[in-house]
Amino acid sequence: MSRVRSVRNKKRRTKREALEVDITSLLDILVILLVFLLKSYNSSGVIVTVPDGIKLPQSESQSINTPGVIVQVSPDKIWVDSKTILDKEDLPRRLYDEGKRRIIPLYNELVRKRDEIKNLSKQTPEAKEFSGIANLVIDKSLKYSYVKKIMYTCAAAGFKQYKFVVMGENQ
Amino acid sequence: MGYKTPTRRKAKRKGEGLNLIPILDAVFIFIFFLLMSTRFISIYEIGSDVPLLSNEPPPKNQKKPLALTVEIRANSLTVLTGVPSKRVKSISKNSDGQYDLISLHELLVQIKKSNVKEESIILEPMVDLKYEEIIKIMDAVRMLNNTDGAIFKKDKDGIDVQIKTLFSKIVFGNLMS
Repeated sequence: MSRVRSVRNKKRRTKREALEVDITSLLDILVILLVFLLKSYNSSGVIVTVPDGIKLPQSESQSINTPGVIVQVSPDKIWVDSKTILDKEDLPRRLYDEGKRRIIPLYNELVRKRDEIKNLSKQTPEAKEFSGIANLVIDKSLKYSYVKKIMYTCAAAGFKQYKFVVMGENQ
Repeated sequence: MGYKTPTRRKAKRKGEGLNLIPILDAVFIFIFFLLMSTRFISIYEIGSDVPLLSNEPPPKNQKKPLALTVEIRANSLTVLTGVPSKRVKSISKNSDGQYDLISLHELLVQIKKSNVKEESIILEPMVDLKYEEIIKIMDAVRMLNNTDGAIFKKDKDGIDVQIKTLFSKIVFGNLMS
């Protein structure tokens, strides 16, 4: 008996009203989010992380970033692709060579990176070749004598181009 | 035995629309505050090439290089050209103790007008100045402002093309010393 009733009610059940949700406010939020995200969109595809302790200098430059090995330098630390390679609290015995011009830990890491990229491009045809570009993310308070050492070390490790990463002037 | 309402009939209850507007309003206000406290940083770059050292003599039958050099000294900026280098002008710091980058820029615009094809400049900091100041000097030597007036050069087909940069290929001359 109950089975017969169930079949009879089948049509009535499907007639249920559709659930209506007002999405106007949600769309408002999405539009605002979209505007902010588009404003901050960077078409270069390069993600440059600025660690704590680094304040970038301002510049009028409008050139978008180029892919390459990222060397980040703060007054206390040096990172290569976000890996800490030098910390003033834990300095190695021998820090400089070549007349105090070359920073040994930075040089070793850059050479390792260069060889890694070169080996990868030999083994994988799709992999990008070594561009020789070093993106320098340097704290604005550092002195030229130290920046010069960084640049010299990059050049010694086989990097032919520096890209000084700066902050847009409208910030 | 009492009558038991079929469970399926119970489920036939009229569908009620969920009122999401108050919660969406709250989320909207939350996102607004979040975005207001967020700082979107535009990050750009300034290119520079590693100087190449060579002991070989320069090739003959070639136009003399401009070899435009800016020496950054403690109290002045000295502009030099040619090989061997010859001083063009020395620009002293202004009354605020800052490098007079406006005068440097104006001088470089004049040099650019007579050397439209030249793109390179050598920077030689002789003092231990801050990285921030070097970036400011780099901006002054590489960018052409709207107020500088239009500079044109001829392309391969002889058509005038407007130049958009001043001396954009920067090399640090004393890097290897």
